[in-house]
Amino acid sequence: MKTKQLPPEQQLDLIESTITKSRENLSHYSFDFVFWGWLILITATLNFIGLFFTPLEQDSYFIWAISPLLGGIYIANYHWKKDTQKERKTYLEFFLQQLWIVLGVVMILFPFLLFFDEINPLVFFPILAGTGTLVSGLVLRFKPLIFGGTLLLLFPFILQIVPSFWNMPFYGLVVFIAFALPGYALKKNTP
Amino acid sequence: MNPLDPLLSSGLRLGVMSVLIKLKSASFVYLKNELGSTQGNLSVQLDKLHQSGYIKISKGFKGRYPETNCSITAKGINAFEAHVKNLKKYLHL
Repeated sequence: MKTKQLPPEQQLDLIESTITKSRENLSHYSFDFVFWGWLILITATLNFIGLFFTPLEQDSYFIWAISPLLGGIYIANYHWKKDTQKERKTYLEFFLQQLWIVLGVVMILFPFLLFFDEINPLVFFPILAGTGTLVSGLVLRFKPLIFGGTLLLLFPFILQIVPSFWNMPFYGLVVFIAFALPGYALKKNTP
Repeated sequence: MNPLDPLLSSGLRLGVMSVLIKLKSASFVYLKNELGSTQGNLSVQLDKLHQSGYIKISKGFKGRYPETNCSITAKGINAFEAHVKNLKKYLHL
């Protein structure tokens, strides 16, 4: 591109073509959703096995204090490395990053609150994760994430009709459908 | 009719502003590749935009290598919007 003065028609064309060219690349949002979808499914399955098929029983809930914390450390390190390689940052990326950092910190700290108060995690987590997923889906205009977020927000209501024995595997499955499946769909969405 | 901003009537400077208006920040290398400019020319034009307060330039490190990042300022956004408005008026759009 040259420095010379352009006539007004060409200036408008240049603005339009430059702005159209720098579209949002949705695929780089996929890793987080796939990662958390799998991690929560595995954690919920292990918790279920621990609860009903091992002597650990209620102690098996402790896995929720470890697994998300380790996942959080891994994902923070992953993004720190990725960010240093990035040559640009969109406002949308910045907004979503801040949103999920706040939600993530609350979700990681939440298990410690359970020592002091009785709050049902299977109500609290899906509402927080569902809010983040629905907002992400709406701002990215990506229907699978909008569906995932809505599903998570409806989960506490659906849970009321699920037998308590199946609560944990059902939770893992719903998070997998709400996170990992839209995550794989995002991965395919490479411009 | 307001006169067109001479600073934004140059192809490269307008290109830089059009890229930065959509981004929170962009590296010098990204702008160079995106706009197909030479390093020297881009440096000079970025400096002009910086001196007029339209963009902010920050220098840091990416790993062990120095990196220059650019972002548009509030003054730059206002100037860009006013320029687009004036262009449309000028072309009776």
